Amino acid sequence: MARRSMPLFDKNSATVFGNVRDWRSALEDVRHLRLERGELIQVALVGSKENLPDLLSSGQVSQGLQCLRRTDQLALFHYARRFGLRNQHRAEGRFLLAASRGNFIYLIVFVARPRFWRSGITPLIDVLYPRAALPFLTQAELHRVLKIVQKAIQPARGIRILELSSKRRLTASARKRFQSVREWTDADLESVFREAGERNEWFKSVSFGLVAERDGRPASTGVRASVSKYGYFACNGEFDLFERTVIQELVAVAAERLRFFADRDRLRTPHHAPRPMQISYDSEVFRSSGQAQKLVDALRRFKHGTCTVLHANPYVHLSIVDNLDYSSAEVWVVSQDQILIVPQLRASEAGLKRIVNHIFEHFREGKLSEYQVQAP
Amino acid sequence: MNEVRWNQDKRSLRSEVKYELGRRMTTSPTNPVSPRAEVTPDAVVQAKEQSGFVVEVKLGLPKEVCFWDKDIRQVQKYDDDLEGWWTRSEHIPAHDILVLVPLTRAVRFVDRVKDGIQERKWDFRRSLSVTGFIKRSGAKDFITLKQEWGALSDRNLSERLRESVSIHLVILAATYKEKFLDSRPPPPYLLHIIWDGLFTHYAADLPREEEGGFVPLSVTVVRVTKDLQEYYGSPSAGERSPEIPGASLVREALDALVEGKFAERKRDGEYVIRYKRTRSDTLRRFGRLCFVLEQKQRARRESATSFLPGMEPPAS
Repeated sequence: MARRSMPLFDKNSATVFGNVRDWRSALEDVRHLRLERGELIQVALVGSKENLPDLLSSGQVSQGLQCLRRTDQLALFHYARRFGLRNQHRAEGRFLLAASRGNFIYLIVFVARPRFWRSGITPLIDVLYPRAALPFLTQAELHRVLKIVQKAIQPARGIRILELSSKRRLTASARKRFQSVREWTDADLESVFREAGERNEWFKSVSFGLVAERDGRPASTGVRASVSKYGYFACNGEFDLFERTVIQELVAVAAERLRFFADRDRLRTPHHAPRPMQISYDSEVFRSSGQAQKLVDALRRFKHGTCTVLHANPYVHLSIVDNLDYSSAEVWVVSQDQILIVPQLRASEAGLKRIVNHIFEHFREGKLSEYQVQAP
Repeated sequence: MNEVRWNQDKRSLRSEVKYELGRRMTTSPTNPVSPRAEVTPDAVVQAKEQSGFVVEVKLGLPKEVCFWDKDIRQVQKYDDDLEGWWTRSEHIPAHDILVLVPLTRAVRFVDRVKDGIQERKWDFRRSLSVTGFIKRSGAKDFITLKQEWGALSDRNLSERLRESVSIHLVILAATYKEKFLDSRPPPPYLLHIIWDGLFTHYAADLPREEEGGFVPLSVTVVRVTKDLQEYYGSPSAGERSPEIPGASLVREALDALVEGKFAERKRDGEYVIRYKRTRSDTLRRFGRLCFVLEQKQRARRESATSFLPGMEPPAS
């Protein structure tokens, strides 16, 4: 095996990816990267059944997009955007768009301050909806991603959770349903997720550091990274490690999720028959009618959507329409431990993903699976 | 029908069972109630090549038993060599009659049938089963069927019904695309299906107008009816097969949209819909619209009759 050359640190955020031909050369470029203060190597996963490089190059999406370079596998874009009441703010930067190994999953890779993600890339992805959309991870999947990193660096090193952005369910007497929490901590991976489960809390993002044992205590190596449940990743070093652990696992999860939601629109199913899915819970969450009402209330708050209540008590039958792409599905609760989702005539992967993620975030996360035919 | 179609061994629905809601059947010349007449039982099921049954459903029965005779006579029409089955001759040697009534009325209904037989008001030569139904809510929501009297030729099915069968509502919700039966749907419900189900499909790939953000949809009664039947009901499969829903209901719905300023009528049967998505619950939205229209119609009727006989109504 050829020895890899020492990193030269002669690339910066303005020059990285300038001459890359493929993913391997992109990774090689990142090895030679010198980050400026506040800059991070960032990756966002986007699912799309369209040719995303073509779409972004077409001029249909945004005037601020310019394709700088393109190969079979990659495309490098420059993006500038003005925003604010008087367009007084500006977000500008470059990003690499690469097709991943997962079907229909693209990677948007960029080296910049987090502001470019918040004010540049995120609004760009929003504009692409429903032709492209961020994935979502369940709490269990997020946990698994971090465990993969931990396993890859043991026993010499480990990870410590440093920052959490989470949502915690409030008590029934509270006026609000959820509490948004941002915590700074220094805790081990397992205890953080265990305590979250006990508190009925789920994470929007988790930041962690790589540590090595020194004098019997964990000491920071200076490498820090964060993963969000929406397929966003950022780090300040060791991108090689995170590419083969975090990124690959995120791609696998996102691709499987996209495959699961695909081809459920009744327009295309044989005889226009429904192809439903179910969210199952370990306990009888709908034992009380109050829980059914909570689900109805949660779906009434479905952003950019319409919730029509056909029946609310004792069983629940709702019709949900995504007003952005006109996908629709019926939501039924006729079992105390299950929600049935029946996609209707038009049901895109992005629309169904949005409906399911909304139930997970605003009601309760459960196990998503194909509907199983049961005996009468 | 789900119970008839279910194959317990294969754990799947049998595709060879033929069934139809509101199928048009013809009575024989010797029918004791309506000879040589068209009848439309709520459901007709032909589970095997040469046998089947006719189903009549009574969602509600009035408290007074004397009003039930009319319903029993309607069922008696089906005790006949009906024409319209799925065979070359459109006849089968035998069929059963299944009456579904609310479980809370089933015992008294059976008593009335038996009394009528004793009084020689009616008689049934074919197997008649009176089966009660009730919706149960618990860990799961079910429709339970319990045969109160009689039997069916299919001994297996009959015995299952005698002991009671519970069908999980999730099966009905997950398996069947049909939103309409052969009875008139509530107008707000029909409008909800059209607006949220069909028009989303029409509008999805069309551009929105800059002013107002509407998507102008050119539709016709013919197209909307055909699509509703294909995606949410049943298109006619032949002369005896009903169209569900029918064009007249669709026309009424589209006219209601015109009255509510959601659409314009261009020509007879042609409309332009001003389609715009909002966050409003569409059932509530169209419920209010239908209520207002009904009030207007009532006011018009009352105004037309609120004068003395022989007098002309006032010019509008």
